Amino acid sequence: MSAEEQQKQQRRAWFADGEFELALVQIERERPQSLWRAARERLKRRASVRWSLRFLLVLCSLSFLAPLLPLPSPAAIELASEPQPPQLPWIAPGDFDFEPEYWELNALDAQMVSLRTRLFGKWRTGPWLGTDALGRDVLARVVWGSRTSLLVALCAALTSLVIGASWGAVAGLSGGRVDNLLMRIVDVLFAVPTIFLVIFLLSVLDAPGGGEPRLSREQIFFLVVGAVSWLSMARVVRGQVLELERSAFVEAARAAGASTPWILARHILPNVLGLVVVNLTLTLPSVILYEAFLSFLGLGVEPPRVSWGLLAAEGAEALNPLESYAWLVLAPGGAMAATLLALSTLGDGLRDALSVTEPR
Amino acid sequence: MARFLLRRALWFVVTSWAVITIAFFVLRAAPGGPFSGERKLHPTVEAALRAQYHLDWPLWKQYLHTLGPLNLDERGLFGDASDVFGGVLALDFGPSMQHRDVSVNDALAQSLPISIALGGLALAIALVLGLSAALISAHAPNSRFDRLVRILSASGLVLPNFVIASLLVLVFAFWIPIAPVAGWGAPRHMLLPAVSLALPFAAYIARLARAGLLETLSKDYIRTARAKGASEARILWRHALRGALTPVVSYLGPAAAGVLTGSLVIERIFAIPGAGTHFVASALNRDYTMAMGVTVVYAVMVFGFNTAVDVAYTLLDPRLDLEREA
Amino acid sequence: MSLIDVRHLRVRFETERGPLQAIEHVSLRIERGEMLALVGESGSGKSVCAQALLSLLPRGRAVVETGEVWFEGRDLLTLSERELRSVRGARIALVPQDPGASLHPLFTIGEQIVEALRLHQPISRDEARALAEQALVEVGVPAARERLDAYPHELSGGLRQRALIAMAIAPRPQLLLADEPTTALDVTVQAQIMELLAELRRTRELGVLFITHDLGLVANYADRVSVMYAGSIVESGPTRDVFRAPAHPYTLGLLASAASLELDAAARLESIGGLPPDPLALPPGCAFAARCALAEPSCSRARPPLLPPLGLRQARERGVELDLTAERRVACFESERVVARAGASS
Repeated sequence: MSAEEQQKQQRRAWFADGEFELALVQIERERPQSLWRAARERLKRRASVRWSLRFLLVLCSLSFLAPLLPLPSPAAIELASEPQPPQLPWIAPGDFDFEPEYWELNALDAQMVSLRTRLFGKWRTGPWLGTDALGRDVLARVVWGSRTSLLVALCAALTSLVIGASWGAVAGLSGGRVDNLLMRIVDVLFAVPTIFLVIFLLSVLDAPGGGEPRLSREQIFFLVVGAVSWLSMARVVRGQVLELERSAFVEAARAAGASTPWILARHILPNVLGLVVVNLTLTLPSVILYEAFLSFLGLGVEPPRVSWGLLAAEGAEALNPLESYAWLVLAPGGAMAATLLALSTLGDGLRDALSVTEPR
Repeated sequence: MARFLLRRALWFVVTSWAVITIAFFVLRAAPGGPFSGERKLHPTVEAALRAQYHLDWPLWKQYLHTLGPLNLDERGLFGDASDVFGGVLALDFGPSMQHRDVSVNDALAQSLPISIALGGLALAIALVLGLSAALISAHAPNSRFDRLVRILSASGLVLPNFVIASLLVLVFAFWIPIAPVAGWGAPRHMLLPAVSLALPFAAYIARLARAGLLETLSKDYIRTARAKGASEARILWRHALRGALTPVVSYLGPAAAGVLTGSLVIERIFAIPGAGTHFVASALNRDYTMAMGVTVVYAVMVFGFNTAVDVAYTLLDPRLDLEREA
Repeated sequence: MSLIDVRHLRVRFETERGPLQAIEHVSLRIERGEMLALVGESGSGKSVCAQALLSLLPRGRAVVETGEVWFEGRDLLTLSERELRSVRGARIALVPQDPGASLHPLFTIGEQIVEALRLHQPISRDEARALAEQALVEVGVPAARERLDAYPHELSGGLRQRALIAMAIAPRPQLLLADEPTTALDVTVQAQIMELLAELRRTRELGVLFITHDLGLVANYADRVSVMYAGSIVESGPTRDVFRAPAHPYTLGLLASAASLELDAAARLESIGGLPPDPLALPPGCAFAARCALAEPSCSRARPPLLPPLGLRQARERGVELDLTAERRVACFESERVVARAGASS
């Protein structure tokens, strides 16, 4: 007997016993679950989504395990050297001259680096993606840079989730004056050039009174980008909540005497959740691009640390008519493009799978 | 419509006041000041400068001073300080604190038209490129061209614009030299910067419009038009495009703000003397007056553009009622 | 020669679940000034039929497998897109279903009627506007001039429906394909619209294909009726004769379930039980067999062909007024038993 048939029989038994309410509760419990299950089935059917997920998984693990990989040091400088073009792995497989030269690493990363030296010794990969003007290995820098870029994206997504979603939900649920006030604040903040806020926050948090920084530049950076990326999330969530409040099924639930917490938990939350998830996957690309933008303006992470934005900006500046060091742009640009493409494919897939329509 | 515009004007006043206030206090709260640059000034010189710009006043007075054409001096509210500039309400931002011989108004009058020309051109290119790609795409969905458009519009959205710009420079300035790399003045100087500024937005517009067109084409009223004897071209251009334009138009608001920010980068790459340089430099150097100037200009432009978009929106869709939405 | 002569039309839809036979062997004929009613449940292929005549079905998804549509000496199915456009709207006009969705929401009523006119006639915008106003007056729209500048969302459902009819008749077509033109309207407006169509048939010799499931309207206005079931025509003939002596059990069921019609108590059946067959998996025999009270085992083995019904003469002898010279067709092996029920009690 299949699981479905078993379920049906079980239900029939309940109805026979007259335990109608129990059955209703069971149906309620099954409904949201099956929504997500159906969405997962629909997602799995798309090859592009599968490939995007695989790519992102590999990327995240590479990024996390960067100190463990037998890469050259991303920071070791060889002065007086020209940028070297990429060499194919079978032509230049690697060398035995690895020097563990990094910026200040946290405990976990330092552990991983020492494990790496124990595992691979002095062996390191060759310049598969070339080297830059200071003789640093581009592949190593791209892998290490992914850590900053992905971390920024995650932090910003989390902040926009926490601030934006709750801001929008409060506005949408309270309605009336509170809603008006909260959304006007969002409007005003939209009109303030974010770049000012970023510069301000960077300089306030960076070095108060010229003393030691309270937070690292990276941490500040995460805060800052997160703080400016929650606005559209607030708008979207508020719109969805408003729409749901007015929807027929919430009205029906209310008419049937459901309490407000019940409606929130059973009807509003599951429906907003899909939109939030979709919006998050679509926020990540824009945050990664924003990081690049700030890096280009010199407001990103500070060298010797790296991020994709910084690498791409350096690469863009290294272009000149005599000697085109195209790989310096193409390597970080390609990494960024592939990641963003995977993210937006995933986001689009999620949107279709959850059949989320964005309210105006 | 009149009532809508009136309400918008009211909101404009409130928003600008809020933006000015936020910008003022944010800038003053940031550590450092306009004269604490790398070149250390002699204390007496610095004091004189601070006095000249009234930075020695209490903050509330500086704030009022920045805000409006009030005649303030150290003795009280109404003195005879004749060197005092008009303030934001009088649209006089005063002299730049970094480049002391230039007034903010002059600097903006010189650089802003360049930025606006660049941004306007970029938006126009984005619209034309995005819409025509979408139209050809929707004419034959899933054709080879349609797939190409989808790939291109996807890739236009995954690269920072300075990477796009540098790739364009690589191709069109170095390999196939048809456009100059930098400079300003002749129309051909605008080509590469405007295109590289426009491409991400063109990609997004193409995506939006393509989806909108395909959705509209599946509507019942398109069949009505076909039953009337309208040609496919007419249906696409007159009946479907009209419906697909609404999401594109509502995107133009954020797009305009995006073009403004994007031009900071593009102007730097192509060495264009636009207002973008002032943006970053003024905030970094704590050039209070200049920063206030660019903030106000930015806010006004974003607000004005959004209002224009809303008006265009109602003209496009008669079902919307501005009076009610306001 | 008939105004339009549709022969053996077969249309297939390509769906995700496989091919779907939307209509099968549909033949229709309409004379000048005549109204033919096409009756059937929703999903029976009525609208597909109307759209197929003008090749309006979504390209790529719908395939016209066989058939001829003879109109003014040409087979419409063989025309080029350009030739078709000169027929659409100008010679054959469609009044689409669902007036809420069938008018373009972003253009005024006037703009839409003017477009219909100017696509086919070399007239100025002002002339077209005058004609459009006239058409609105004709269909009984009050304050027609102001309505020209109204957007669809500003009109009631009834007015939208009339605007659609005005748009269809303004270019003075010879044939009107009216796809449930009165479904959204209340009864008094329905009658007005039907009277209007009747008048146009008299004055302009307009032929009308009237698609509906309202048998009352059919009885009152249509000259002839064709009944569709599961994509095929199961019965056709003069309205009066078909209603007096239905020869197909499905027609009988339809008539019986329409409470407003006077029908002999003996012939009265309950509403037709069961559901129409899955169009993706039509049975090999008669599609109605599963729901039919009179079905024999042979019914589900072979599909009954469309032939003159049996037993009409006997029915007339029993006193049912029937025109035995009129052309009648039915697709039922047991038509004799069905007809036998007519007038049995009187």
